[in-house]
Amino acid sequence: MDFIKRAVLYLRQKIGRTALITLVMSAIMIFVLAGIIIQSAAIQATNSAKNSAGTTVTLSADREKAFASMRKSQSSSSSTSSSSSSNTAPTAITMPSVKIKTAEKIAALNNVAGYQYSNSASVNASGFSAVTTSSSSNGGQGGFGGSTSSGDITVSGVSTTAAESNFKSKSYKITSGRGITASDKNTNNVVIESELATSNNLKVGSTIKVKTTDDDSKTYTLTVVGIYKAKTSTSSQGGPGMSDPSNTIYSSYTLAGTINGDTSSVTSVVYTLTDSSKEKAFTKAAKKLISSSFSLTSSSETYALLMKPMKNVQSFANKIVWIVGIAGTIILALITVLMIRERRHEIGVLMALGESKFKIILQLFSELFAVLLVSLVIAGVAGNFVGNAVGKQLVSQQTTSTQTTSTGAGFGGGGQQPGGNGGGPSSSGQTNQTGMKASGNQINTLKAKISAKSMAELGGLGLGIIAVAVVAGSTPIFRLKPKKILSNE
Amino acid sequence: MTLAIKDLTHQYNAQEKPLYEHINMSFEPKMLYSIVGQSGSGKTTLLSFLAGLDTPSEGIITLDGEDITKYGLTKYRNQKVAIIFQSYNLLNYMTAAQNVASALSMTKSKHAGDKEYIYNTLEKLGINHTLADKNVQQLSGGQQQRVAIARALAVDANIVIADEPTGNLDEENTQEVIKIFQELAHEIGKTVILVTHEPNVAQAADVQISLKNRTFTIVSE
Ligand SMILES: Nc1ncnc2c1ncn2[C@@H]1O[C@H](COP(=O)(O)OP(=O)(O)OP(=O)(O)O)[C@@H](O)[C@H]1O
Ligand SMILES: [Mg+2]
Repeated sequence: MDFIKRAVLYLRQKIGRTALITLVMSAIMIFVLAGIIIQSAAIQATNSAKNSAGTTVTLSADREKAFASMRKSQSSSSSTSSSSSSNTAPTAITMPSVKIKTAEKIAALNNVAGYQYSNSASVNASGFSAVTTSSSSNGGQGGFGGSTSSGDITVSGVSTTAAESNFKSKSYKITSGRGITASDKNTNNVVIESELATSNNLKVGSTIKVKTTDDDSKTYTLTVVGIYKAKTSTSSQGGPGMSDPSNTIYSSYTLAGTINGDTSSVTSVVYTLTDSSKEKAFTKAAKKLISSSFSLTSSSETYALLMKPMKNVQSFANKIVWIVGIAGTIILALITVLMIRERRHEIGVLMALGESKFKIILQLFSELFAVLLVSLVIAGVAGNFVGNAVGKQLVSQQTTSTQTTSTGAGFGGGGQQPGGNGGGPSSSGQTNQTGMKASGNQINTLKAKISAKSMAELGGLGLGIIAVAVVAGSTPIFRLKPKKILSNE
Repeated sequence: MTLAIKDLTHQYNAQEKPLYEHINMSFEPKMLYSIVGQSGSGKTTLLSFLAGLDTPSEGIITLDGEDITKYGLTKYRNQKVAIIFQSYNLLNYMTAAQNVASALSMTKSKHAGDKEYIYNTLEKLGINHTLADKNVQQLSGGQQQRVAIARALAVDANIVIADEPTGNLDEENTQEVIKIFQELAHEIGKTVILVTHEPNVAQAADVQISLKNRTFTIVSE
């Protein structure tokens, strides 16, 4: 173990050099570790999201088809009478609604674990006031072709609030009373947002009145059975023309149907499947029961869209690991080779004293191994910060860009059509954004933690680098006779 | 244990004349040999062959009749020979004592790890305990030379080869070192070969060899 003693003496005596190589190695290790952390965190986040999502299939009107027909009718109307189309908003379109009878037939198919109806109606507050925000106060509803949704309150009908996407993702939370359950079917029980409740001094047990928006307006008396709180971040999402989410009240889907004057249909149904592998078979069977104006969207498609930022982070992290790994290997190896070449005289002395090449290599290796251990500790501490910072940066960037894309796609959607997630506030753009936001939250909590595995991977890489460098650096020296090494310094 | 040069010819450069041609010589235990010769005559080069640090163009070095390259030069340097270099060649990240200590453990000497032995050996060459614990770069040239000698004395090897071991020493220290080399040969029974410029050092040897005109001449025996 003589070589270890020499290694220790060397590192202690040449402390400046030791510190320098430790710094270089730490710096490289920090970058590699940050890559490994982000990579593993991204994989973990993807997996956990996959597990928690479950597989659902949403049945709703095929919006693309509806828009296509809307555009067709618009262009034809403008060509026939250009004066009338100039001042009217885009032509109102009616989305076909899903007949409950059809929905129940589909629910009777194999592999359905449960289902949730969503229905939506627009009403005006009567005897209380809707929450106004600067963005929604003057623009009002229907900036984008809201046909019947000119009311200031949106009644969002659901089977149960517990299964509603905003509540599921914990963006919305019941703070007092209870949520809407199956037992609220055919009742006027509602759950209102806390801001609406506070501003109108409403409590669980209070009653409110709403009026329908059509000409012969009917009045409904609703009973508040619960109050929910929407995360403020969500309310800031709405652009002009979107109502404040506080004005969404949840009820049983039957109430929304009654207000709309159509109790036999709903806007969308979300089916939860017993087994994600049965998704294709289910979709195939369900398609036979619906007309082409409806679409079936599975959560795995939505999920793929939501996971896009994660995938991007993952592939980016992969590239970082590789680039930094390769560049780091080359730099470290070159520095090590240079340092060893500088020590050729010392190596010559050891050879002259009869030390074996193997033990000389072991000495150089143990020196670098000690440096590596210290660097790993430094990298472990610093890499956490770097990984967190870089990870956050990446995720927020990626999420923002994806959000923009999806909002763009969702725009132009009008009326009371909830998006794929169903049951959200009336504007489809907003629904989409809410869904996006939920996933954004999930991704933002990306846990960039150092695992023993990442440290082991890093250590293994470091060991490989120094092993290669030591052999590469010393081999040319070993080829020479000691006399030669010692005579030309 | 006889060390012998067999028909040695060497030239560094094919264009130049050989440094020496067909030299034969043998070195016996319990004897102190001195080699003298002009600067550039090839003394250091010859010692490097004897020490197994290099191999000649032609001819071989044998130990008890066996070619040392067959024995293995690394093993030969480790077990059979101790070298004192013209330029000391100490390990500069160690103290004097650590230099001696690591030579002992490297050669698996029976004295490896024996601190008292290490400090005593250094003491014999006028390196006291305080100096022994100093990094060798903080020692004077003469002190470093004495540490290099101590390192060679301390190990178990039976052949001691020294290149100008008194080059940086004052008269007093030179006499001391001559006495030590004589003891090594006559009392401990090692084969001691030293190269020197100094006539009084050369004369202290049992056999004086002159390297001249590309060959060895035994001056006195
Ligand atoms: N590695 C080498 N390559 C080429 N020529 C060399 C090499 N080493 C020594 N020489 C040449 O060989 C000759 C002998 O060198 P050497 O060092 O053996 O001389 P020396 O007798 O020890 O001299 P000094 O008394 O000055 O130490 C010199 O002319 C030198 O230039
Ligand atoms: Mg010389």
